[in-house]
Amino acid sequence: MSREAVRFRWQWPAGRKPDYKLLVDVQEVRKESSGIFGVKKSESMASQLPDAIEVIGSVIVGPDELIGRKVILRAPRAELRNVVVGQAAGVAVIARDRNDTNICICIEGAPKIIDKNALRAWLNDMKCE
Amino acid sequence: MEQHADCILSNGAPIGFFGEGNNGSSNSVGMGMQGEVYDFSELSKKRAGYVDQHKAKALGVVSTGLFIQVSGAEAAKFDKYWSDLAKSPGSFNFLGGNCSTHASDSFIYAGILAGGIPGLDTPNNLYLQICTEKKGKCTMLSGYFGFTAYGGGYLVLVETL
Repeated sequence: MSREAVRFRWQWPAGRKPDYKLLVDVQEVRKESSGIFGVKKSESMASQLPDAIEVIGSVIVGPDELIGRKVILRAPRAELRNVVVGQAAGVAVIARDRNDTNICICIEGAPKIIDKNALRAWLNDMKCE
Repeated sequence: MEQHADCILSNGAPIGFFGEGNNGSSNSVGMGMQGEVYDFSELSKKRAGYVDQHKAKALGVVSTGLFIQVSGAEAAKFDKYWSDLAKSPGSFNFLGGNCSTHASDSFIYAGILAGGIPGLDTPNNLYLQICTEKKGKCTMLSGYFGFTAYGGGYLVLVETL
């Protein structure tokens, strides 16, 4: 039986260091639906993001329990740095903040290199600003 | 145009009221959500474009600020309203319990405005009310806003358009 996708919310880094990072094989990048009456787009809703995008993929590198899992990463379009379908992307994660868990604080497309160790090294060096 | 109203406390700190939900059915129509007060720290994480000038430019977030002359007593009561609300924010509703409702309540509690927002509780209606009631005592600036810690409070940076 296939397991449910793991969802990651977006927050800006605000000077925080990630708890861990993921390398994700990007399979789809799509615009998020705005919900009934467009309420999800209201600026007063905590979950609102400017031009919200969902990045869907599977985890290549990360904590053991997430390897191979499908993930859905939510982010503002302007914060996606060189994310391309069919390529890998690095993701920085805060595990918990107040009532929220699985918080993505940056997403960046990985360089086109095949060597996994080189990709791990790139991921380690990836900075969130 | 999407609108939202936040406030700036007497020490320059930004603060605002938001609705947090769990994606249940009532959330999708904007009713019965948990209210939350976001201070500078929370705004930096969840609304970077409201408090970080570089992010405001990158995201195209243009804000309009009204800077109102008030007495020390009014400023203290204004700050107290938000401090109390942060401890017990209650629920968020689009009709009568939203960001503008609480911004308006803070002005009324402080004695800065005489009454509630004429018409629906929207940022634009509150803006028009303040401009009318505080004519000659407020300055409007529009552009990319940022807040930076300074002394015991914050400097408000505005790059006007």
